[in-house]
Amino acid sequence: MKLFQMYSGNVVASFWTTVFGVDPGEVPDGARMDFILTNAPRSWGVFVMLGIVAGLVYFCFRLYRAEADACPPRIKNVLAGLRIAVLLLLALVFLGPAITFTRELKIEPHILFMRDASTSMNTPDRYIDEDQAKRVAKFTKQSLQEVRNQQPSRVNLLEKAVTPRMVRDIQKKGKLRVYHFAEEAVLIKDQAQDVEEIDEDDESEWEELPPLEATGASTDIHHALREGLADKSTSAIVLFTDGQHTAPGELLDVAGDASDRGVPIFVVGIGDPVPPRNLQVVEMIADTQVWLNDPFEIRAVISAQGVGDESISVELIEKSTENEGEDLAVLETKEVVLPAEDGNTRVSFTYKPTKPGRHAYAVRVQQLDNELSESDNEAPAPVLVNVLDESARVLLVSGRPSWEYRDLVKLLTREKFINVSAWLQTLDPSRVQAGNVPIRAFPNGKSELFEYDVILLLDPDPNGLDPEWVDLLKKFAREHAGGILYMPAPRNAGRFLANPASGGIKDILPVRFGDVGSMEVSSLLSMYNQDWPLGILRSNVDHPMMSFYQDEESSFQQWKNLNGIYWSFPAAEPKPSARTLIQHTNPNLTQNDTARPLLVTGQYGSGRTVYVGFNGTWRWRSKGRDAEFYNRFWVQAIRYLVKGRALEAEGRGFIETEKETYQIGERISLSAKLRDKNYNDLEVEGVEANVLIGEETFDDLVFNPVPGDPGRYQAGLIGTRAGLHRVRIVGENEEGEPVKIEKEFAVIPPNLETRAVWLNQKPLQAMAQLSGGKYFHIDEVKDLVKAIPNRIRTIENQSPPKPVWDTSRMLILLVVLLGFEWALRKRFKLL
Amino acid sequence: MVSACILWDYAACIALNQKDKMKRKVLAWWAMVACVFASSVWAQDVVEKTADELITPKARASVSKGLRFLAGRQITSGRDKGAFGAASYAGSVGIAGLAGLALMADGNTPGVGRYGKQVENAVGFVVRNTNNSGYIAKSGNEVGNMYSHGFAMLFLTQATGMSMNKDLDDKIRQSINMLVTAQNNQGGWRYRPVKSDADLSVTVCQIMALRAARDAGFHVPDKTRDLCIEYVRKSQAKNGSFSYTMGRGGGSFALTASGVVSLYSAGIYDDPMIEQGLKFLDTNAMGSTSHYYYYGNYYAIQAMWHAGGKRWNTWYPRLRDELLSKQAADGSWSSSYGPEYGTAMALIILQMPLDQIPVFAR
Repeated sequence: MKLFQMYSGNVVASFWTTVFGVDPGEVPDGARMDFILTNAPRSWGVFVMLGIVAGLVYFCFRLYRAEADACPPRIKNVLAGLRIAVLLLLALVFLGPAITFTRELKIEPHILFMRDASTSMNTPDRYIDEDQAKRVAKFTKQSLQEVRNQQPSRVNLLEKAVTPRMVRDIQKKGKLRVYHFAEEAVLIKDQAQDVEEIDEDDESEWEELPPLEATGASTDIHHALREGLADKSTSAIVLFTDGQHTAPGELLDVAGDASDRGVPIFVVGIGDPVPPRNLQVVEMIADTQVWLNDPFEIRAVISAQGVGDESISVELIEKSTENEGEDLAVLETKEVVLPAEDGNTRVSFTYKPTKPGRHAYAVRVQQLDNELSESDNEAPAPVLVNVLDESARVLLVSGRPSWEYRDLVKLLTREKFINVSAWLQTLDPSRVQAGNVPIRAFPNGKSELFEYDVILLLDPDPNGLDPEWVDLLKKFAREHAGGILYMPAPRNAGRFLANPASGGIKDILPVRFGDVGSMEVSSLLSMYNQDWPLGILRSNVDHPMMSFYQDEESSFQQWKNLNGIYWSFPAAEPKPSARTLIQHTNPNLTQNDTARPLLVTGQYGSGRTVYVGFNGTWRWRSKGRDAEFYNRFWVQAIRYLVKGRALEAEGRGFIETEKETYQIGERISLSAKLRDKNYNDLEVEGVEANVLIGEETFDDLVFNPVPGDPGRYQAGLIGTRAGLHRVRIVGENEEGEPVKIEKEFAVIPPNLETRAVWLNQKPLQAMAQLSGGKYFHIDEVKDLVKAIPNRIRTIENQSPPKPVWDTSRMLILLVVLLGFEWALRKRFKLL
Repeated sequence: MVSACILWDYAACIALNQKDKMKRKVLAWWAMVACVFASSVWAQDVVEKTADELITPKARASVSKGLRFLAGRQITSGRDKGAFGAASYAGSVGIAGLAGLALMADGNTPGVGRYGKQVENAVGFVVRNTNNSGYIAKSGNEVGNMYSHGFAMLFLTQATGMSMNKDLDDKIRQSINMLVTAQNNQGGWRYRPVKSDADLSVTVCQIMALRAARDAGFHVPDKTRDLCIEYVRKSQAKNGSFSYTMGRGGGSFALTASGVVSLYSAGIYDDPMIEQGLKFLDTNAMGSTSHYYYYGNYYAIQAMWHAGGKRWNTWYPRLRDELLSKQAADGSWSSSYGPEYGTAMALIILQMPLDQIPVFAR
């Protein structure tokens, strides 16, 4: 029961708090104080209590009036009054007088601004759709013609749509949180300032949103909205997007959840809803390393939208590697008839390079009338091809005429860019060894061995190999950047790795082994009648040895389609800096949570090494056209191994990337092997490098040393801009002249974002409607603020009742009353 | 292709009327070159079908059934362990060789693969029955004679390098020596492992085995090889077919198929003789359904595999469907030489697109 109330901070309130002995520090500022009875009876109980109290008072009065006559009646009345006062005080204590403090709290929910930061938002629309064109013209206060000529990008329109005034007005309905989303949603701004503190009239105090950089590789609207709804205080979501949702996840599902939560989604759709008439070179594929005067294929995928079965001309162009965008020559022109329906068309050129060195090639399609964008008629970044003027020299050593050996020697002999010399250890002495450069003696000496770029060891027999040769092999990799591949098989692997003469090879290989001495017997006793699918690591299908297609998912699927393995060598684990590309899928072979590594790449000094821990790649011959994937795997393996040496030959080190082409938003890992002026491993704390596009320095980065690997440095960056990039480290030679170590790679817009670029209006409208929100065209954005509900609420926060009777003052008062009564009784001889 | 062949016929007609020998030679040569060129272009223009496209789910099931049948016929203990029957053709080394190749075509090697154990056992059986002279024949069961030897030796040459059998290489060397010794002056072989007359059918079996042995690193004298090729070359008749014995006129579908394959085996790919042989096979494809059905098609499918292009795309599906229709309920293919022979041959043919066995590889 509330008796009365007052607000803290005034004199009266201070008086009462003092009276009731409340510590002033406990009283919150501006709080309302309520005096209440916590034990007050309710309903008829009130009357019962009043009756009891009145009865007690009457009884007490009558009792005291009946005291001895020696006591004057006045004194009797006083005594009765004292006792009645005590009774009333006790009755008050029974009622539980207390004081509470109540504060008012304002609850401000979050209003989320989610801005699409995917690459498609950079699209400059032509606005073929008349209605949309008029809306944009109205919004930008331009004529229709001006809009169509200027083709404002979606990012520009979005930034124009959200004014500081709109931000301020929205802040009156809740705290603003700004997210940028593409493949992930990132919180960009979280409003800290109280809107009431903002001066209504001072525009300089109004907040501006940070600029939008649309560089995302995909658009996951579903994930962004889920992230927004995860915040319990979200009251509304405002989505600015073109609606091209490129990830899984149903938009209507999340809209339904938003509706259940009472969170309306307001969508501002930006872009042209008409699928545009457009030609786009979406993909280019070529071998990154080819040989002089050896024709190679450059393939391009042309995406056509709204074009129909027209004949178009396609050009193969050589581009400058120095000046971005500069054409050097048109190498070939082809007429291509497109299919009637929209889709992709593949075009291939066969080109014979006549000059060695690094070359950049691009494919360009002719421009159409009223095309959405002319900028994508040429590949976003050219393909880089290193034209080598010498064939790769490969030594193939095999312990037995295994199928692996027979198929491989045939393949490599036929490959134009490879000069292979086979050394079959079991070959009859009168026979000439196979290969297109047959040899008569095993290359035991340094000069003969170092002639090769790559050495393939197919389960070699340790008999006949001495420790000096293995030492030479180490030197071949470490100092001469030679590539080494080792493939064990049941016949010799155990003996080869356990033999003191040949076991030194283990130092070179990118894997660690367990007890290799006991393996031969176990392999002899085993039958291998169950095949296990290849454990392909999805993240590594972009490795040059694994990549069958530019699209990583297609490569992954193709690898999964290849035949599995029966036998594998029990390697324990990859070495720390190695990269496992394939691992065993048999869970029983896992050791210390590490699956058995099957295909591992690594580095030994300057040279690249590959471990193929199973023998059965010939089974892949059944897949593809004419053993296509078997051939490609081995050719790519040779190219990968050769590349280390080809790069090293450029000077005092080299920079490597895992791929030649990256998509915007993708992480680019760089690795460098550097030597000092005296050609020793460079040992410094860090090496500065520039990232250039053309000759313009685009970014700086620092290569940091790799612990335990002298001379090796690594760095990383994120691709943010399409174009041909060049990373450059500048050192000095012995004469103090600058020495450039460079690596080029291409960054292209993400495929997902360039396939469909029109405004996907209908799903956005359905989503907004289902959630209880609304869809806005760009010219209606001014009405957005009105539509957003104001869900700011004020609530009272009351403290627990603080009893005011349970104090020393109350006790003293009772003692004083009773003491006084006792003294009077003593005085008038009533005791 | 058609125009090139017309040109060939036209040139031949003119040549017949020409008195000038030189002109005749030149014209015929150019026509032949045109014919070969046209055929190679013809082959290249066509996109070859992949194994996954050619071996349909029905064919895959049929092959699985056939492999199970064959594996089930193998003797698993005793003196004949590894053979595919105890007596007659089924118990011969030739059938063991062909059955081993059929299992290998599925990707099984000695000790490795679903039927690795059966392949290993077959290797053991053939090795045990290779006598010191190098002749491979089960004592007391020499049916198939030099045919058996050829198929068995071919099987051993594919097993070497993949098998743990320590006697294997020596046995192959002995077999090569036997063939070198038994080759007659014309370059061929006959039914017995001694120098006598020769026929193309037996000779091609030995050529394949010798070629495979060379690929595996064994020494085969150049003279032996050259004589083989010469024998095959001289066996071709004017109509493109290959005759059974030299100078006997036109030959059959089966002989022509084996003749073409033997030239491919010798590493001859661009010779006009090949095109003539293939053309004969094209025009006499019906012959593949008559005598020596499996033997003829065993070589024909190899010939078309090497020829590639449109020929391969046409031949394989036709033969596949034909074989599927002939398969018995137990997974076997019947033959006058026993179901083991028919099944092994059918499986080798059906699995050719898998491109697993090195000797059949292009």
